[in-house]
Amino acid sequence: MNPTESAAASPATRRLLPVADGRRTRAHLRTALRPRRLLLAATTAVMVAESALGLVGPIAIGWVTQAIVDGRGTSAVIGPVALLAAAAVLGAPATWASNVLLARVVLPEVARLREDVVGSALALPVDTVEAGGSGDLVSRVSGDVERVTEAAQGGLAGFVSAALAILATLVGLASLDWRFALAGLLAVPLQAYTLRWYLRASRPVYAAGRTAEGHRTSALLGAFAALPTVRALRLGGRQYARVQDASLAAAGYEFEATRTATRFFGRLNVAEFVGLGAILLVASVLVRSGSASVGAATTAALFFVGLFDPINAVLGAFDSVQQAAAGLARLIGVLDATPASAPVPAPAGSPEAAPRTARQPVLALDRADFGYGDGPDVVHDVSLRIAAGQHVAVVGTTGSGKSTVATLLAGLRAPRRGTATLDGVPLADVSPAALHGTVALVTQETHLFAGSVAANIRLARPEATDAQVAAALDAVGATGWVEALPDGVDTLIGAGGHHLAPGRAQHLALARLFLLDPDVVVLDEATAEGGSDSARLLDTAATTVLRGRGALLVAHRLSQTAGADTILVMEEGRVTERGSHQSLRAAGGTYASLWEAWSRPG
Amino acid sequence: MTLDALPLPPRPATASPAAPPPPPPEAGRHSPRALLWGALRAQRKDLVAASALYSSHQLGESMVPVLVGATVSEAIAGGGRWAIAWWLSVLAADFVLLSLSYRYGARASMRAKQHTGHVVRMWVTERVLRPAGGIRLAPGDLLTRAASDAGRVGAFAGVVAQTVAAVAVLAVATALLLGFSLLLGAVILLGTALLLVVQDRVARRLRRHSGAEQHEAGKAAVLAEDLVRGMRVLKGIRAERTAAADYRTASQAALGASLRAMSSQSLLSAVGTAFTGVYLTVIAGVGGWLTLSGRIGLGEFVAALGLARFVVGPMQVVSGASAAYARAVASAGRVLEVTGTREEVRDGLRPGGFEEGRGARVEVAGVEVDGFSGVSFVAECGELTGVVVDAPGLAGRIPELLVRESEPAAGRVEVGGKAVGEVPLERLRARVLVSPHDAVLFPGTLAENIALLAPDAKAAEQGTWAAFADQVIDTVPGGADATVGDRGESLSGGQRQRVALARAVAATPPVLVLHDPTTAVDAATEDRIAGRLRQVRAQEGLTSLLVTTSPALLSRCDRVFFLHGAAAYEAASPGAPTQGAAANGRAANGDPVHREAGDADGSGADGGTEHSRLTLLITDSGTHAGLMRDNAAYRELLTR
Repeated sequence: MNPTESAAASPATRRLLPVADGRRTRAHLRTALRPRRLLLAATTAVMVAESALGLVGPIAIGWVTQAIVDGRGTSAVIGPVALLAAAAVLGAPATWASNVLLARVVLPEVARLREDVVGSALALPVDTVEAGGSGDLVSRVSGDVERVTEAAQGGLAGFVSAALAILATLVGLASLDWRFALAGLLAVPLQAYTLRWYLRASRPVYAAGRTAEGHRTSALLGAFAALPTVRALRLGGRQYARVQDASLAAAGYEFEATRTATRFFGRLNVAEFVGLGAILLVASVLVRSGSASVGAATTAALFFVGLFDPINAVLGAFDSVQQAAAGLARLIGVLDATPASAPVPAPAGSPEAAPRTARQPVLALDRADFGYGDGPDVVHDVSLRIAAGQHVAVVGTTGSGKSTVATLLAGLRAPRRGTATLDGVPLADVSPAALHGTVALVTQETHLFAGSVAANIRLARPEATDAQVAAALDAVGATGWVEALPDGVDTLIGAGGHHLAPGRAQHLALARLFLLDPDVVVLDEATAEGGSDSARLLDTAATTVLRGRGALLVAHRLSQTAGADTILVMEEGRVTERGSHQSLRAAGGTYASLWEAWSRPG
Repeated sequence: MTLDALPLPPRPATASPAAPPPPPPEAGRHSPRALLWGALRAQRKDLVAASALYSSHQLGESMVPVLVGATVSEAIAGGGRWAIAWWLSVLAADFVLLSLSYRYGARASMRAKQHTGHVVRMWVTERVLRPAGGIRLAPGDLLTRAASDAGRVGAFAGVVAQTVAAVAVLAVATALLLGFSLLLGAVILLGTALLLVVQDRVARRLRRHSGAEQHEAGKAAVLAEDLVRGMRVLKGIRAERTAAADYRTASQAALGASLRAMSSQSLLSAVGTAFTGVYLTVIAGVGGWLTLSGRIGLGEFVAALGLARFVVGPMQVVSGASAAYARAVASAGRVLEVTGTREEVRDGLRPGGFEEGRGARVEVAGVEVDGFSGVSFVAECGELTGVVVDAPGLAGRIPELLVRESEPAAGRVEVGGKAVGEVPLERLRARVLVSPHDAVLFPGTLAENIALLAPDAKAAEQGTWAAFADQVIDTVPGGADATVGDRGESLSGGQRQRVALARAVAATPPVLVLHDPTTAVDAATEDRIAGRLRQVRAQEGLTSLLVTTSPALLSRCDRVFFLHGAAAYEAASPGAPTQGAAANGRAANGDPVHREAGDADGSGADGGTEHSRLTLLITDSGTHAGLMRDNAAYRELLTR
């Protein structure tokens, strides 16, 4: 009935990134908060003081009431009023300090968590992130982080101060007369039952709500990030409907959560009435029998009325804790998904360039098999070796596994069987820092990062000087058009910036590669996107970048690969021919016919 | 696999959008405030209900201490045997009132909140997707506005209901207190007014800081999105650590802003605490003195104190409302930056469209765009026309001109004998389909992507065949039902291009414009695609335009136009380049320098009064074989 039904249903069935379980989440929290336990203790102490000051109000009022009942003179108000004034004066700095301290405990921890999550996500295999959809990840580092922060700040502050207020009030009630406290406690079983019911009922609603919000993010990003295609194909209506469905679904869960919450608070109202009614009833009996004063009864009843808000706050805090836990579990799930061997720690200083050695490393695949996910092998028994300065080319029809081989050699994917090695060491065991500057892969992916042209180039070597960036642009012949941009190398490009044609994006990728100066480059159709716009420029640039390095070239424009030392022909995931351009042409096999198709003059 | 399994698109692809666009935010066109109130107005029924119910809930709550006071003085300090039962049932009735009011009030408020947020989100979405274009913000930035900012505008709906209720309860409480004692009532009124003034002062600082906090947090979120999307590029050059460090910097900046905002927030809370304490002190003092001197009774004193404590909450709601309003207006402003974006092109006003018929002739004559002039070519019905451009950056502009994604500075663009500017955009784009060079796929299966725009199953099958995408379906595990990822990233570049091409051909548009459709496809496959494309398109009498440098595609074209640059010249005023074209003495096709008055409208050119440096393009045309034979520049470009 709805065109987006099938499209909207598919994300649900995807392999989303993992979500941590409760035990794992708590363990992480404990570890994370350990270094801050002193600050946490100080925060709690200030909160206790703050709550104690809050109790002065009812006590002072009880005194006044008693003075009235006892028929004392007007001077009787002076003592209690002085006490109230003192509490007010001391309460303000206590409130300030507890808020500030709590922020210092919570906010840096949350910031670190989101940095770790982004770092971990970047270390994950591309396939893992893309299987779940990048929207899922983005909604975790934005929406879920926001929820956790809110809950940790609002929820925790509310929880601690309210819990302390309740405790102190109960003590206060008991010190007035234990029978009042006992009457008030009648509410507790009701509250405990209600809380248990609520936590059970609301947990799935919140979890589903968070997932629905993830889908909403995916739908929005899907529409916004693909805008040129959406507009060209007039898919605006469909994307609009998809966003609408996802947005309404997310709103539906929010509303469902409210329905549950209002039922929860309704039941709490019953508990409040039971407790208050019991205190008033007990008071009427005790006062009549003369075993309690009217002042004490008033104080007790007001104590209990004063408990309504803190109790709701505590129970409500369970609610935010539960919401935060759902978000936290999604964040920690990302951390846990990262293979332990390959985290991306954010470097403390500027990452030092790996020291260059004079020797040229040898990069090799040996009898490598690979398949995606649980799927069948798409690369079978591929062996190749790139020694110093050697150029190896892989050709073949699309879908024959060329790009997969390129990612295996670059170490972005690990073979199922066989090995991918750098100087004999499996690539998986080589640290990212050692691989940086050793082997680099440039594909036909033309993503530009939002930022200046220079910043995009500098991604390769953050420590590069302006002169080095300029030299890289110059080397690949991009200086001309870059300087013609509105602000030259400072022109903002990427999403939201100056639009660059895909060919120019590729040109910048080659300049980046030149700046990185790796020993071995893997170019997977890196100049293909030139198309009509800048094919010639890109070819020259690629030649410059390849000079003096080992290289694996994947290209379908055979003129680019004809000069390689060795050419591998791939068909259906296997290497079927291997040799130089001349020998393969002479052999009259697949390569010869590919070359025929390519070089036919039209 | 057989292609019978390809699902039909649920609706005809060429028809209007799947859902009607929402009413444009008429009221919210000009100012953030108008947008905010416009969004709220749509939810007024729920807002009124929520306000009324919240008010009765608050009144019920405020009656609790009053009833406790009454119970103490009427049933505990004195009164008859059954007095306690009577007062307890009055209390119970009050609890029923307050509980039910809250339940339905909160639900109405949440409805208003969610619907307002949803409506604003859909306004943003509609504007971003609108055919007339003009949106330049980054996807991550747009996301923040459609998600967080829309949510904040919605959240204000909840604040409205709470504030109305707080004002109501303050009024009633004040009236009650005035009834007990004029002096007490006056103290409370004065205290409320003072509290509001002081809090507003402190809140101003908070507003500034929380604006900065939102800004920094937004920047960090946008960066995260950008990094995740560019992950393949990052991984290729092992820049994950650099990227993580960049994010760390952004996150720490956001943290700094949050801490500053929190310190203002703490100050605000401290002022609140101090003021509330002083206020209670004054009331207890004055009330106690009044009672001790016999001017008011015990019950009234207890009730007054209870009320005074109680009204602190509503007072804070009222004083917080201005900050919440400021936040909502700030978010509405960010929404307005999207919804109020100027449209890139003006929609064609002339009603009607094209004459019926399979194809439509396309003619581009003397167009000036991006510093090039003399862009001219023709594409006939039933033919495959190739356009080869040897001018950096220009090739991508040509498809855009045909569907008016952007306007040329000068020149004539006609489809089916009509100037494209005169036809409504929707009709133009239904007629002319452009498959962009970097076309992305959508979440879903291969089959769903291919059939996305197809009028029927046969067309989907034809598109699949023409683009040689049947081979993709055969190779990919899962076949036609394999999912392609968020943007098609689970396919290889060549597979993705063929699926995108299949999708475009399957749409069977009268005019199909393809920009470098096979850059990631090998020559042998490209050749097969070219042959099949010709068979599917030309035989049906449809018009096809290929902007490409692929010899395999061009060799199957009926006619090829080769646009390449001549000397640059200074254009002083419209019409000046005529001599340049003549001087070059080459066979320029069409009428390269024909201009029409008024074309500069809205396109950023200043009517020719400014001197601009233009490169005049020469157009050579012929068959691919002929050009290869006779044109050295063409041969050199295509055989690199």
